[in-house]
Amino acid sequence: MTYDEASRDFNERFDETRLEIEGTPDGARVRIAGWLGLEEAGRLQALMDTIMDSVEPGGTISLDLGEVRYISSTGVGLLSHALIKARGKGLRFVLSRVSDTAEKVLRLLGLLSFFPTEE
Amino acid sequence: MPNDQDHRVWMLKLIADLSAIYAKDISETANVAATDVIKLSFKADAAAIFYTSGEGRYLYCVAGTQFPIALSPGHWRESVVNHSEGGHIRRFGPWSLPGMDTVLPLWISCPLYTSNANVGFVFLGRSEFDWSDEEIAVLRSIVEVMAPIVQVRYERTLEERSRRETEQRLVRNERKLRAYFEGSRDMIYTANSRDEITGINAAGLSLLGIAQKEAAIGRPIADFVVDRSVRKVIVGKILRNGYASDCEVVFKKADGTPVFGLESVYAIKNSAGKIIEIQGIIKDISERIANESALWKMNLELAETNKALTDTQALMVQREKMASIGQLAAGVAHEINNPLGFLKSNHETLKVYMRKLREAFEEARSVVPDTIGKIEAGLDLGYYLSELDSIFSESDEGYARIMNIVGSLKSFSRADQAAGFEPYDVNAGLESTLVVARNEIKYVADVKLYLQPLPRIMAKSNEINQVFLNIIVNAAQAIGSQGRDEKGQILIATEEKADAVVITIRDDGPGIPKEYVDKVFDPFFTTKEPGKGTGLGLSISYDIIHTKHGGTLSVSSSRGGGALFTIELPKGAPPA
Repeated sequence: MTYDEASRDFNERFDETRLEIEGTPDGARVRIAGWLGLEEAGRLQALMDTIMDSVEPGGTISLDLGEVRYISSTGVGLLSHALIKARGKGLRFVLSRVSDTAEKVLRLLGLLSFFPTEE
Repeated sequence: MPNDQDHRVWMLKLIADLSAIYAKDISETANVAATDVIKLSFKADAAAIFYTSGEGRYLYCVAGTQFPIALSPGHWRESVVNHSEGGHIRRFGPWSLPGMDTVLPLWISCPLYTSNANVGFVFLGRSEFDWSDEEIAVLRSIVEVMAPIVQVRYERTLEERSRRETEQRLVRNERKLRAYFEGSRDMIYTANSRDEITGINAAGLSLLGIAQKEAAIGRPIADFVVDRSVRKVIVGKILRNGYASDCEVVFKKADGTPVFGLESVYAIKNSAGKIIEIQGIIKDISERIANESALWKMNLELAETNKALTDTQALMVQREKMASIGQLAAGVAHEINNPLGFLKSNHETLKVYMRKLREAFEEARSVVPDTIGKIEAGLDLGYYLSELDSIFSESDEGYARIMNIVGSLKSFSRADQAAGFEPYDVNAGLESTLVVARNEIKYVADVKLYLQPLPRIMAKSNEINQVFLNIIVNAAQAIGSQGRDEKGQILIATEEKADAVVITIRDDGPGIPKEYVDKVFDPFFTTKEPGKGTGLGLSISYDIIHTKHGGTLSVSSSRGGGALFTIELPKGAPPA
């Protein structure tokens, strides 16, 4: 399944969430917007695993949370899982943008400092 | 016997009396009074009305008593079922009313009404004078008047009964719901269409850290959440879908403490589809979230520790490698140095001896010039003697070069043994590193040095040499990877700035693609073929320059197309 097909499939399943995946020379850029609840996060985690498996060590996975309006604990779990998996594979995992809502939750949980960010 | 007119008057009077009774008394007791009037009017010895009440009970009213009497189903069967005949008048006897001793021989029963299974009858009994057709006709007439009244009362009783039951059910449900509402360990609330709280239970007050309901009623839910925008999103979802389930919302107690809640909420709408009430239930999941969060933190810290371990391992491997190179260099320097010492010494002695022989030869020539001239011409001694100078001169240069190499190897090996910060000559470090890397460079590139005089700086010489070696070997390998016909170039320059010394190492190799420039210092990043590079050399170099020496290490594309590494090392005290 290509990135475009995976995004389309995801967006058809969840009408309050928007996913875009874009390949980059050394990895992938993932943009998630809207509602990141239990089901959405579960599906996205599976996709992130697939994406990370396809990127060579040394590559970068960038996740854009700038337009996330709601994030559940499953969503936070997804971020932790992705970061740990990326480190294990020698990948760079960065949050390219973080919405106020997502930042508040990550800060409240004491996890924000673990995630490399780049504006 | 009375005539028709008399019958009519009698009947009308009886109807008027019965109507007055039922008008005056709307209770069932009116039936008792009615039996009294009927008994008297028909000159009967006994009169009774049998009926089923709206509450499903079997009752009968007897003239001369005060209240309706309840009958068992058995009595009802024995009295009514056995002595009535559907919608017809029935004569029977002898018989006595249930519970009465007096047995009368002449009875008639007349159906009062039939409403499905609910029936009523008027019974009249006499001891003598059988019932005439006229009396029966009058009975029929008054029963026709009474029937709707009794039936309406029956139905009203039925309705009242139903209403009472409904009310009781509602009260019971209300009590149950109230107990559930107040006794629930989860917060339950109601809100109006503006999302302002209209009701909240004790668990809700506890969750929000509020003592009195008054402090919550009328306030928007958004006042109690950490992120108002999240509430807005949830309300939007409710407006669109009519509900929102399993939403995790962070509430804040009155004292500011965050509380993680799992909320399910739905909207009650009127017939026009407009929201009239929002009802929600919120479970406090703070403990679960705290546990999950602790687990995530632990896993993330573990991942960081793993990474640090991997980096340390790589660093140790690199240091071990450097130590091996240093030991090798020291060994080679030592082994060469000894024979070189006596070779050089013999060479100097040989030069002295040759000078003496030349002097002796010149003296002999002055004593016997012809003989010596002949010998010199015959053996071409003039040529040999002139060549000796250039041979000694070349040998001197060779010895100097060997001694320089040995010196560099010694310098490199000494650097390897140094552990802490010490005065360090950057130019000497570069030169000794070039000697170690010479074999890697010599077939692919020429090295040009533009070294300006530099002050010594405080540095860990072994580590700085390691950085130089990494960058120079990378440059040579990059040039070599191009398979060029001609050698490439590595230009190394140093200069002094106000507070730092600057080292630039430039090559004319393939350079670094723009998209990789930001990543070359990342651990494990390599563009080399698998097995040719660990991707750790530059990462370690960055750590040495940046973290350990407080300097900077940067890379950019060289104007010639290759890569340009720039190192700045502070001249001042080493970092604490």
